[in-house]
Amino acid sequence: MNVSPREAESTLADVASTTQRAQRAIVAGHAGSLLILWGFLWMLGFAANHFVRVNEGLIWAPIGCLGGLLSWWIGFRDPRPLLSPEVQRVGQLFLALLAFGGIWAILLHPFNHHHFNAYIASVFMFGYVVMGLWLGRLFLWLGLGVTAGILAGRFLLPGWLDLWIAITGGGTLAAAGVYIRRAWK
Amino acid sequence: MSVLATLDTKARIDFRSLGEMLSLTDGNMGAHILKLEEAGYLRVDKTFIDRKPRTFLFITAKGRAAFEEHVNALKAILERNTSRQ
Repeated sequence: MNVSPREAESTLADVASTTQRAQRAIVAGHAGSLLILWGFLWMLGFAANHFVRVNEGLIWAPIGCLGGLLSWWIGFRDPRPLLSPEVQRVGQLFLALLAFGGIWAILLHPFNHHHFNAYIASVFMFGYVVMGLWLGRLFLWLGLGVTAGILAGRFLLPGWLDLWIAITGGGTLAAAGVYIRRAWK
Repeated sequence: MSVLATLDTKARIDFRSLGEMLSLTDGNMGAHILKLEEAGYLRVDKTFIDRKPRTFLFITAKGRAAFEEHVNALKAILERNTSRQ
């Protein structure tokens, strides 16, 4: 191959840059919109749990259904130009988490009201950590960061845990979604 | 190289999106894609989604092997140059 070291270095740098852009574009396909959606739903759901003293199922059931329908609409309204096995696996991961999260909740019942909400949030953050291992460090840090926030709230602000998760957890998800939509194209 | 680098992430990609990502015109893209397809490095899949024609591109096993071989050759050139210095 008749290529100078400088040309080889430049080409390899281009390859690395292009590969990173492609990987980010794959992830950004719907990730930004979904994170913003669930960030706002978390803010709504956890804040409602703090201010309205009813069974948490009465709050999360309609929010979960709304979130599921809107997520499906975001995912299927426009077939994304970029698909990868990893992205398709993410949908399957969250379905499995939904199922196992429910089973674990049944096995660990009864819960304290606040602890149950924190438990649900941490289950989904586990999903983001796994996503991060597949798709990129942003999701890994998102999952770990929000989980650390949940733990801090659990022990430092027990009476304000739901509101704390609404602001820090929901706010972080929505902010990450905005960042992805702007920065990962 | 950039076309194969994009597809090396194991994704299928829409023709127009690839052009936007690489800042290439449709005509320029078409010429590159044709050469890569003739060499057996790419597979082109033309379909309709919501009654709109869409063209998706996939890298083949041959294309992935050729890309990796080329990248390894470039790395070897750099390593030889580094060991000489």
